[in-house]
Amino acid sequence: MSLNSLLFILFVVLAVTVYYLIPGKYQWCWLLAASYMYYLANSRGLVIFLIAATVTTFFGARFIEREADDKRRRLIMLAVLILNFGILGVLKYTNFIIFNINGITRGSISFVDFALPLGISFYTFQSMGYLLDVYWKRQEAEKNLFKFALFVSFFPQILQGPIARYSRLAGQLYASHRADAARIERAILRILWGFFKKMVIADNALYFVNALFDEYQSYPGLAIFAVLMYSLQLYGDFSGGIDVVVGIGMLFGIEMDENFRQPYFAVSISDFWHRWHITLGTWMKDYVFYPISLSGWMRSFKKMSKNVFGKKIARTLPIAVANVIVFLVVGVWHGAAWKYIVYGLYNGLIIGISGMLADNFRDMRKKLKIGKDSKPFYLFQIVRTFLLVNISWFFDRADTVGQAFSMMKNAVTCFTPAELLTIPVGPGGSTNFTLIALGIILFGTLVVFCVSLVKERGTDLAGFIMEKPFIFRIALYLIILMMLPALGQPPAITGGFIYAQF
Amino acid sequence: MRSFKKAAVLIILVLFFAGNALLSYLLYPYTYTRAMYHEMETADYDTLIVGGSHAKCGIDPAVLESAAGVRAINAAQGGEHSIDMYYLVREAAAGTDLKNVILEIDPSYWVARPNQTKEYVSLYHEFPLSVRKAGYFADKMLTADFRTAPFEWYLYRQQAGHLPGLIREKQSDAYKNFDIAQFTDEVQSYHEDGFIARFRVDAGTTREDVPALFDRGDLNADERKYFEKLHAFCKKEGIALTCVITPVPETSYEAHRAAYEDASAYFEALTKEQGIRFIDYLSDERVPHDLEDFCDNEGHMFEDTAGRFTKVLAEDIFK
Repeated sequence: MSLNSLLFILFVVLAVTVYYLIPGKYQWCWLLAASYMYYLANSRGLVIFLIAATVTTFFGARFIEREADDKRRRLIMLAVLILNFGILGVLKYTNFIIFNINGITRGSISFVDFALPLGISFYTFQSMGYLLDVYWKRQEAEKNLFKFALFVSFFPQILQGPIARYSRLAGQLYASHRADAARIERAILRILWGFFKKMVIADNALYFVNALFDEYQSYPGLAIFAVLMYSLQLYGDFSGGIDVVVGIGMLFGIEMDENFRQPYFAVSISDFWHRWHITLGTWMKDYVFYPISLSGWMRSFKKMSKNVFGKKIARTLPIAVANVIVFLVVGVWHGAAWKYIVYGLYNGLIIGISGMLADNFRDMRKKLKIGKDSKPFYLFQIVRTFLLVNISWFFDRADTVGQAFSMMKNAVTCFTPAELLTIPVGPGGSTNFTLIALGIILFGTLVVFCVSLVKERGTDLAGFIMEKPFIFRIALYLIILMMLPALGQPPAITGGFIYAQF
Repeated sequence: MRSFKKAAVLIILVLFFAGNALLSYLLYPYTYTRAMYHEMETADYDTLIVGGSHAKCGIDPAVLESAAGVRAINAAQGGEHSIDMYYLVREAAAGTDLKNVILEIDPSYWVARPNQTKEYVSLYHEFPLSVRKAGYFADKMLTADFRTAPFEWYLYRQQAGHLPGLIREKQSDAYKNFDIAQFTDEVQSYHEDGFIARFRVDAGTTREDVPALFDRGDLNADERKYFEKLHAFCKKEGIALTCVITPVPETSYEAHRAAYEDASAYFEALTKEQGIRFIDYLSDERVPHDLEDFCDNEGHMFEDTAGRFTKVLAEDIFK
């Protein structure tokens, strides 16, 4: 049941209607029932993994809370962590390990055909975050197994996040909500906006991305367009999907964490990760970066660095190392392939090195008499970050690291933009609609750019629209709705949401 | 003022729904699927052929009639999956005294999710309005992209450039009378009984076409589910069901022998288990296998090849 299927939309309508018809104190029970119905309809027997994560985390957290002995608390925490990340690791990374063992030993171990439970990366990270919060005594353990089961399985977010924190989501899930017309209207606008980004931008860009990456040797002069199209596709797809998910949450009166904040306006890679997949970034910061930075061995490393490199480097080097490790984990989270590891390392190294050279950059800027807040410098930073991000997208989308490097080389040595019109677009594989598709992508991108610009300046655009007369609003919603079939591409070619497979 | 606002909102909504309906009417072209349903509603027949494009241009009802005396309609079509066949058979059985169903199995259809293309919706779109259509909608369209059913024009929106022609077509007697002349061109001819005769001309079809291969690991559970439902329906209604796999060029068979042999073994076991008559022509020497008898490597037959093949089929099923 994909997010864009008619069945899912009817399911949401039914779930919301029943939600507001039943007494408030039972609303969370209905949400749990709906979430499990959704999961069972999609994953059937694989629900056992979701139940396993829920039960082990729930009881693990309860034991940790009751246990006074630090050693035993730690042991329980580690056992639950290893079990849950172990399941994730086995299901997701076994074939990658076999592939590498075969490569090294020239062996022929057969690959294993595991079915991946829906949203396993998301619910595992979410529940393990809760476990660690209880372990660090930041969070009281939930006393009701079923309430906790709802936190892990809440159906809108299980498919592609955002990765929620118990402290922010659970209270809302268990509270009673009343139907509020303004909130529901806002939610519908958010859902429509998400589908606009997905269907108008991402699904049209996909034709170009698939052609230019899959046949990159045939289009060496279009490598730059390949990655630009991918940056549009990925943003439209992922942020569009999150808009739909957040909008559905709003229909139930639940405000989920935002996952995107105009990422292509970022002024550095570090800033980018504060704007792109925000909930993964903050999860990594809280549960990987800080534990590493504050660990005993990192303190020893800092001491050693001080002796070897001096005080200045010792201040920044451990943070840089922690960042590299964090992004290595981010890379591995993205998928079981070397290209994702390189993708993670690339981001980690840039952030790490940028941090270490921050003082040098500041001095250089002073020497060049560039004001920190000058507009040209701000624009330069945005363009520079956009370029750096796009380099990372080569690793993300290419099939192999070798292909990524080859395309990067093509991007700077070969440029034949006219060839873009030779890429077939549409189910018939014709080039008759290529120009139209490019026009639609341009239109969609301009709309998203303008909306992002307004949001970046702090304007609540949805709020602004909501203040307009109802006639205007309904006309706007219907226009957006009509654009989805008129400008979007059919799913025969486009498939589902990219992050739904994580 | 209040009633003005209400009226304005109402007008906007009416405009939206009317515009959507108008687009559906205008952009949805006249296809042979519409003509085929009309034939199913009006003709007198006792045999229905369902399946994919191989059956569409491989099983000729006229030859079946002359060889076995049965009156058949070829309701096969490219992109027709088990679910479509099930509802087609039910629809046919509701309107005529259906005695035989010839079901062409294309093994490649069993290993892929149906693509949501024009073919995906055309069989549903033209399906006569009935309770069966409601079931068809629930089983097929609910899981499709949410734009597919409410915005029927959406998969045909690229026809917008041909709008004047489409409007003229909708007003024409040919459209009103389900005329099929327009479905005949220099490459193929559409017959009233649903058969497509492929002429021996170079249609630009590449000989490099590689058939999608059967792989048990990729089996789509829905194909089997509706296949079994179709079988149960035929059994209940006393309709004789025969499953066939049509021949492919020898060169294709040899190139992908393992996949074809596995498909044969799989469907033989499946039909045996269900007690269904199954005839496999993949390696049957009585039917054509020469590449020259087909217009591509996949196994779409030329008209004369279809004639020869249908003759053998008629003998196998009815004699």
